Amino acid sequence: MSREEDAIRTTTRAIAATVREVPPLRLDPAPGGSRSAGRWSRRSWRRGNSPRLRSWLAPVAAAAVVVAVAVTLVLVRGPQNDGVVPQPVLTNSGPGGVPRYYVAVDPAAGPGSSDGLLMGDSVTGETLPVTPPPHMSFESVTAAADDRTFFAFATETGGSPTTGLWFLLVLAPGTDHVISYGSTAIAQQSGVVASALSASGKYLAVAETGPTQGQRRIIVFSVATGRPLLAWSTKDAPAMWNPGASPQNLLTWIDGDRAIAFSTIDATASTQSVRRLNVDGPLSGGDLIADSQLIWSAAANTPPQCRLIPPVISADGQTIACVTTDIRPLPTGPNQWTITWRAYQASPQAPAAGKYTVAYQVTRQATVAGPDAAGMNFAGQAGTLWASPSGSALIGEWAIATAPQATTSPSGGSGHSASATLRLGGAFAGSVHVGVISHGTFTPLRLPSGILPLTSPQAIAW
Amino acid sequence: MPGPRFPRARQPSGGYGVTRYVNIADARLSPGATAAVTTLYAEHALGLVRLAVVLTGDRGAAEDIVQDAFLGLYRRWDSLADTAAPLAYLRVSVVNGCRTARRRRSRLWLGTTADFAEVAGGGGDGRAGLAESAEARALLGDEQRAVAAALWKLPRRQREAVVLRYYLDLSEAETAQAMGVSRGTVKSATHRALAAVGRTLSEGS
Repeated sequence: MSREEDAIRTTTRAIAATVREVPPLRLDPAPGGSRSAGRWSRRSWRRGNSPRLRSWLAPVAAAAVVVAVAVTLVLVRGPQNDGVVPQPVLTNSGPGGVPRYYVAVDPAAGPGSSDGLLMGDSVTGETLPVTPPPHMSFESVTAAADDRTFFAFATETGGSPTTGLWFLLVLAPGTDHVISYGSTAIAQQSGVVASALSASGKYLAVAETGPTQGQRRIIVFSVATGRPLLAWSTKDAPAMWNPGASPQNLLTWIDGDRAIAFSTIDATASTQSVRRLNVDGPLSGGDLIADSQLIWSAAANTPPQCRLIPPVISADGQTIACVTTDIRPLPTGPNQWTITWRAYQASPQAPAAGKYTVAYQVTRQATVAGPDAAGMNFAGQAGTLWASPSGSALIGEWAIATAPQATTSPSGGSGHSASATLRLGGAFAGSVHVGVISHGTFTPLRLPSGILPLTSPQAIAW
Repeated sequence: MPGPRFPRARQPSGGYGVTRYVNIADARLSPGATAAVTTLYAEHALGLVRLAVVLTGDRGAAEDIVQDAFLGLYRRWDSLADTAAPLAYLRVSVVNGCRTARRRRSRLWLGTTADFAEVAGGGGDGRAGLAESAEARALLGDEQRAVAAALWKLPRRQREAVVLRYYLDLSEAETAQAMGVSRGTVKSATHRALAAVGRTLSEGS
C-alpha cells in the first residue's frame, strides 16, 4: 500500500467516523392519509394534488402547450414603445416602491428533485406555485420591466446546471389565468452562466462559457424568433466567469434595451469591474472587451470590499450596488459582523471605485458556527437582489447563522432579532432577512420561508 | 385594480439540506418490500450515510441522499432483477445523489464564505475547513486535514474513485459499477488522484 493510499484510507475513515447514527426510515403513514412529512407534503403540493390548487394549475399546464402563441402575445401586446422602458405601474407597486410581483425558484425538497417556481405578491404575501416541466428543474429567473413578464431558465433534473432552456411566464393577476407559461423559441444553450431579459421583454442576453477553452461570450437573442442577433466573445482574463458557478447578476439591461452592463472578474488581479456594451448601434458583435466600455472597477482583495461577487446595476446604468462584510473578533468571544450595502456611481471617465454612499448597514454580534466536520456548513449570506431603475432603492438579503448556544444582540438596523440556529448540514434555521433598502431603512418583504435563503441572486426576479 | 385571486399559500416546511424523513408508506408494493427495505436500512444506512458524508461533506444532505436511495429501492423493489444485490443498487444511488448534491452546493450563493472560513480557521474557499470542526480536530491530525483538503480539491470523478477504492475498499470493477464508468476510467482517475494527494503530502513534509 502506498503512502497516498494509506493517507486517503485513514483520512476518509476518520471523517466517516464522525457519523455515529442515522435517522430512522419512516414507514408510518400520516394520520388521515395526509402526507405531513415535510418533503413528502411538499412534493404533493408542488404536483398539484391539493384540490384547491388543481384548478389553478390546470390553466398553467394548458398554457404550457401554447408555446409560440404566448411568446407572440407578449411581444405584440407588451412593448408598444419599441425599446423604451415601460413605465412602472405606480398604483401596483409593492412595499417601498418595488415591483409588486416576483417569481422565485422554489427549491426542491432534496437531492434529485426538481426545483419549481413560485410566483408571489409582495403586498399580500400570497404565492402560487408553478410546477417545472417534466424532468426539468428551474435554475434562475429574470424579469422585464413591466412586472408581468418573466423568463425562467430550466435544466434537466440531475443534469448539467448550465445547459437548458428558457420558459416564459406571463402574469395576469385578477384574471382566471394568473400565470401562463410555456417554452420559448430560443434553442437550448450550454455553458449558461447568467441571463437577463431586456426591459421591453424583446431580447434575452445570455452570458456563456464558449466551446473553446477560456472563452466567455455574451449573446443577445430575439425573444420573438429565438435567433441570436448579436454575439461578443473574449478569451481575455478580465472577463472571467466561472462555468457552473453561482448564477449571479452578471448581466443587466440598462437604458431600456439600448445597452447591457456586465460584470467581469479578474481573479488574478483580484479586481472586479462593470463594463457597458452598447447594443443599439450598427453592430455585428465582436470582441467583448474591445467593444465595451469600463464604467466601474474595484479591488476585491482588501476587506471589507465587494469581494468577487458581481454587483447589481440600476437600469439607468448609473448606480452600482454591492455588499461588504466585515467580521472582527471581539475580546468577549463573539464576532462583530458589519454588513454594508454600498452604492457607487458608474462613470466612464473615472471608473475606479472611490466614493460611495452607505445605503444601509447592519451590525450584529454573533458567534459564527464554522464549517462542520465536512467543512460545508455555510454560516452566512449577504447580497443585493435588485435595484430600482434609479438606484435609489435596493432589495437586500442577509442572514447570519450562529452556533446553537450563541446569543446575539441586535444593535441597529432593522431591529429584527439576529439570532439564528445553524441546522445540521443545512443553512439557516430562520432569520433570513429580505427587504427593501431605501433612505437608510430596511423594510422587510414578505417572502415564503421555503425559498430562503435564496440559492443565488438570480433565483428571484422582480 | 383587484388583487390576484390566489389560493391560500401553503408553506412547505423546511428548506434544502435539512434532515427530513421520507414517508414511503403509500407506495403500493408487496408487503415483503417494506420489511426487506427496513432491514436493509438498519444494516447499511449508517455506512451509506458515512460514504455520502465523505463524498459531499454535508451531513444533512448525506442523510437525505441515503433516504432517497432507500425510497428509490423501495419503489423499484418489485421490479428489481436481483433483490439479492440491493447494496450495489444503493451504492450507485448514493453516488449519483452525491453528485447532484455537490452540484447544488456549488451553486449556492456564498457571498461571505471566505469570511466565514477565515473566522473558522479554514482556508477561505469554504472547503478547506473540511476538518476544522472541534470533533474532527480531535480525530484528525495535521496531515489528515491536509489530505482531506486535497481530496476536496480533486475533480469529482477522481474523488469518487479514490473514496470508493480506498474508503470502501472496492475493487476496480466494483468502483466502476458504482460510478457508472469503465474500469479504465477508474484506473486513470485513481492514478491522478493519488498523484495529487502525493503532492500535498510532499509539500507538507
